[in-house]
Amino acid sequence: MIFYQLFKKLVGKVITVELKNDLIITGLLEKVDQYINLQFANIKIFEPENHPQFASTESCFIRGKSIRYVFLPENTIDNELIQESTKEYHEKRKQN
Amino acid sequence: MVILLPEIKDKKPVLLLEETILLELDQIEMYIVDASYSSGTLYVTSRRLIWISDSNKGSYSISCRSIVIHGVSRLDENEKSSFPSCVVCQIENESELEPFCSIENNYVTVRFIPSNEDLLQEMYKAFSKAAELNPDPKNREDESSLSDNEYENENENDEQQVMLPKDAFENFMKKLEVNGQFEDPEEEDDEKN
Repeated sequence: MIFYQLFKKLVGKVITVELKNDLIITGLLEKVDQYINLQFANIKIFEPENHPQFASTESCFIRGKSIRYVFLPENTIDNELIQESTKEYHEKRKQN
Repeated sequence: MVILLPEIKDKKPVLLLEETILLELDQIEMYIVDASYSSGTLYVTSRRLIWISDSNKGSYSISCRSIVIHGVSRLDENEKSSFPSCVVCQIENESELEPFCSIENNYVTVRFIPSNEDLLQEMYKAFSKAAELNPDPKNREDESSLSDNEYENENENDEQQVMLPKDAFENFMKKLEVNGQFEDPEEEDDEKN
């Protein structure tokens, strides 16, 4: 559940996500669930001219599966902790 | 197919096993891409979105799992948005067969416009609830999963990267700075460009 814990800590912060459909959204993270579905408020779309359908969208719900990247403000996460946890997670998966 | 034809009886949807209706609203106009289907009744269920036309425009259903993103879009005088306030969603075409209509990059934009703007929040919440109730079957977040065999081939496509290779991230940040998007990341920006 490492990513879920990570995202819970980010609730209330402004982060940026890039989706698999190339949409890049910056917004205030309001809610996250165990499937990493994300709910944002006050969103801004990167290059809105390429995605006119979301140009005037203020809040949104993003399905976890559709996320490609998450961009985090530098001081919000403990890099070492994440690297350790990710290592553990992958080792656990290899064992199974 | 992304957008399916649901079973309808007496102008109401025939629900699937254990499917429940979270929200039912009438006088909802539906747009698929740029085409309006006029007014109909929207059902948000625990599995799908179902829309039944008031006239003869048919009935359609979308699996909640296909909804990549949904949001509240408000008509703003300053914006170039050509649609009234609505809930907008993007549907992923997971099928390799013919798309429903002209699709750019396999995604279809569907809009639901209520007769009354006050309904937008309720609609958005119902869509969100429905999405939460429909996680993808292969739950990668399950730490205690013993059946990891099914994930073997998924590694490449499904790994969510928390940390990017340094170059890629720096290039991206430079791009954002040029556009002035990251000037005050901590502040809530009231201005819209």
